[in-house]
Amino acid sequence: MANRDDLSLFVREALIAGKSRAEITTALLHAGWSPPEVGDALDGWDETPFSPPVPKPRAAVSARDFFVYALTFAVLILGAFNLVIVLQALIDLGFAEQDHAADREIRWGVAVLLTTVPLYLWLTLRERRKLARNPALRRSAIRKWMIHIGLLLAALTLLGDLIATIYALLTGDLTAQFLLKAGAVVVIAGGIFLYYRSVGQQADRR
Amino acid sequence: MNKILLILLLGLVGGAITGGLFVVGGPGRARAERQDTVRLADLRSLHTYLRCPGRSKRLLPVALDDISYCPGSLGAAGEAPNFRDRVSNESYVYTRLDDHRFEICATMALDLAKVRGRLVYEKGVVWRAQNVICLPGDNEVHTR
Repeated sequence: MANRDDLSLFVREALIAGKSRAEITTALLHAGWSPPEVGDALDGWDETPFSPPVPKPRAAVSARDFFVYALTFAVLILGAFNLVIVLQALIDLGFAEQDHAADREIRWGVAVLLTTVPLYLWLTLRERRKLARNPALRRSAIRKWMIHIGLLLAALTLLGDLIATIYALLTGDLTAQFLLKAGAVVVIAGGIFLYYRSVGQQADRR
Repeated sequence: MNKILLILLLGLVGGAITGGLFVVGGPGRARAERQDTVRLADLRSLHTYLRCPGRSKRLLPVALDDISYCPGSLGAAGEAPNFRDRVSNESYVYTRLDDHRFEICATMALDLAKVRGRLVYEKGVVWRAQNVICLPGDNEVHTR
């Protein structure tokens, strides 16, 4: 069975042989390749009369990208999780004075935020400067994956929050305290979702 | 748009850190809370020592640090409870109300009126003054 490298090679040779894109598409579909696979393979070569066919830049994967983006997202997730903890502990203290555990949660959360937020900002701004200098880095596959993993986690968090709110409603536990705590999750997860969706759309446009 | 979102999220983080530190206080406050928790634990140990559970009815000691009063309440190696505040090194205040009723008190580091319920408030603790708490008791009940 042929793999994607064979497919790309076939498209290259077909273009060199002077076949049109429509003819190549028909042949590949007949051979059993799916339309997205065919589209991807043809998109790998620039539509120009120049011969041999000119390859388009492809998303790259590098260990350095993995380190930077994985660290950025780990810091983001840790910071967001602890921001929720601090806000929820503050809400708990607003409703019940005697909560010694809330003090510990707030101190731990503040310690995490004071560490992760400056690190996240430094990593993000440093990356933004690099991307401005070298737009080719936007094609990093790891970067795209991390953006979409971030979106997935934020969406799942919002989903879980909605389920918990509906469950609390059905069980009669939907208090003002619960709503405020659920609202804190919506603001943080929603903010992260919108931020990364915007970053992802920018990356897709370029 | 993402710049505005980033600024809003950073504002939320700043608010959470400021609000959190405002509510729980700084390192000095945390240290004082921990010291007060130890003082309360010391008062509980002294309360048990003075009640001397399991012993026949006997007169309360005149001085708090009389370790012959209740040998059964000493630790496995014969160690006595802390008669003194470990921070100020002053003796906890023992008041012998009569032959069998007593009160043991400690001066806490935090002003209890200001920290309200967020310091450990437990059953049997009586708030005597601005930052003084006491554990009253008697040694007439001899079972735990």
